[in-house]
Amino acid sequence: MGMMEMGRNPKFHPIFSLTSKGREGCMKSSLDIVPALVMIVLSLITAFGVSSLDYWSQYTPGPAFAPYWIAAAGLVLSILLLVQTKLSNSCEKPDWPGRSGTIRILMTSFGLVLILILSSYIGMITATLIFILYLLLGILRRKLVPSLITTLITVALIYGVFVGWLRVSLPKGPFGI
Amino acid sequence: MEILGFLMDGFRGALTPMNLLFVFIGCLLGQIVGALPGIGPSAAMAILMPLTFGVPPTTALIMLSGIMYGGMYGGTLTSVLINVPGEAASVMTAVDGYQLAKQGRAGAALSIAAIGSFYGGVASLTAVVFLTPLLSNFALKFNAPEYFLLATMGITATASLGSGSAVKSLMVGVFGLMIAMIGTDPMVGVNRLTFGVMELMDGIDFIPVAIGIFGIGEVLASLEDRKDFVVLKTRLRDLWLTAQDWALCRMAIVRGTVVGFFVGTMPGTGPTIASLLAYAAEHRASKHPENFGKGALDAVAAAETANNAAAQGALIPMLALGIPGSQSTAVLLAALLILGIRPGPMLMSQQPGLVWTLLASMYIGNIMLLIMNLPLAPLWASILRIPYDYLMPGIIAISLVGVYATSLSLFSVGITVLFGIIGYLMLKFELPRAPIVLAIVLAPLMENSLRQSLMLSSGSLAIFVQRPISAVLLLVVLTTLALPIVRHIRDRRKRNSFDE
Repeated sequence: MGMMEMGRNPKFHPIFSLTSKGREGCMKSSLDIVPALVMIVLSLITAFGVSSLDYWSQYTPGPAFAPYWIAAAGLVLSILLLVQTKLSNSCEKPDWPGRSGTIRILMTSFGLVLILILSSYIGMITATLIFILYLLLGILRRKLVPSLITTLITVALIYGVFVGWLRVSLPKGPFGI
Repeated sequence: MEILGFLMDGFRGALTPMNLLFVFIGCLLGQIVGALPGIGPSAAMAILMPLTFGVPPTTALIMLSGIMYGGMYGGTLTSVLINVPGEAASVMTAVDGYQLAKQGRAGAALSIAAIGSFYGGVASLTAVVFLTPLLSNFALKFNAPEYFLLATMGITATASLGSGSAVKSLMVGVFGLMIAMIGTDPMVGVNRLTFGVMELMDGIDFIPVAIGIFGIGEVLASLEDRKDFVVLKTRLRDLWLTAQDWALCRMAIVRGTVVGFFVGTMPGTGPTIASLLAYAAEHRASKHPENFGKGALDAVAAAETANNAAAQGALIPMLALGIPGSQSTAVLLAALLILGIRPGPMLMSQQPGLVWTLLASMYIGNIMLLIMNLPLAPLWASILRIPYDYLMPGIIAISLVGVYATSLSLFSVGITVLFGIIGYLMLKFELPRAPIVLAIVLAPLMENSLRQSLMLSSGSLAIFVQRPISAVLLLVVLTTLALPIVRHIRDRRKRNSFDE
């Protein structure tokens, strides 16, 4: 249906759509509501987090001055976004990936947390090596030989640049690297 | 004449073997990053920032800026050959560039894009060379109230002039300010928002946030859909342009330069908006607007010229005022701070060697990129055949190790992972990511200037209207806040009249 048709047909008029059954779907629209709600929570945390600090001391704004105003701005903007969402007839929702895409993202995020934990125990270089292999072979299902070559090149590059050139002392594991 | 003398000194600095090497490395990395879909120049600049700690600050900035404008050249390749913009500023190039490639004219599209980018880049850079000292001299009159308003303008302008919802942009800016508030108060020395976590006492650094939001976030998003792209072929002889092509594109290049430069100088806009506006302007000015979207060479010329002109134009507010004009210049500004250089109007007088060497290096970089993109275009096209899957783990690994290298703390690596997930969710919820970076970079200047201003005025807000320059800046800030409201009302009226 073209835009012109939507405009002329009362069923598709924005006002009608707000009062019609479709409105329920719009009210569930999470594209704007979720960020607004998250911002309300963050604003409250910010305001609460500085509540024990001075807002003003003699002629100078205190350490709580800016955080309070920032929290207030966050609250105002969140409410504005909520109102805007309620008034609009948009039913947009985030474009989430399919099942396989979601699994890949979750598994990669898990791998990122794993590299963080493992770095302290087996060293950052070894953890990185395991992570790259996990990503290439386990998640992306790439062929063994190119994956091994890619892993070795990447790890060698990281070792050469950060340890060899920049002399960064990366967390070491039992293998001494 | 004095400026030319400074520029000559800059060339002497830029032409040293070390700096030349880093101009080349920066441009090469920018070209590769721009050509590969999935990671943009800002992300690459943030990820590779730790690598520059082993070289002098000027050399580091030369390399990072090379990535910034190199990305503008590289983005064309993917847009034209596989119909996927390598970075956001090449979106409009994909519209007509890919159509041209399907018609067997990929070479002409790549060629005009490289020439346009070169012309736009050099012309814009020349304007930067002459205008930055003037603005910088004027900005020496600025005091705390003006700095507070300038920093505020940097954030509000992003919301006002950027594409998408202004409320969302401002909200993300506020989120950035909240992050910047974490840590020890700079004036009183008490802990703020640390909630007893020792590691938060030093605050949250810019690098983990930028690498997480741009680098890891984009990599996670690219995991959603794994496509093997079909790369259209191009040959060296196809790069030659006909006299007809020149006649069609020469004014498009000039118009693209003008649009790109002016858009680039406005805080909060950047190359993406510049290329969109240049495309729209060219559509109006073209003798054959009916060809737009079907393979118009002048459309490619205008969009590509504008994005590079804007990338260099954005340096004016950054160098003269210390206010980043775009996402990439925000990263560049953060690099200045990390390297121990104080940005702002004094930068040109206190660090003339750095500024002029950087500007001179950009002329050299543009020449290098023209060479890389004209005779070497088929070579770059072959790079696109490497599956992105093999690069993705490397990007993540370098990001995490790089963050560790800057802070020597696994806590920062954890912050990067957290912001990587936040960055991915921001992409999903269509929240712009530039304001968060701008806010984190500008927050210390904003807060300190506000507190200094109120100290000077014994708490009176009148200080912001009593000084003429600050009054004008306040008006600009209010205008940037009012613009989205005006735009919203106008759109609503238009929609209503359309419905009737």
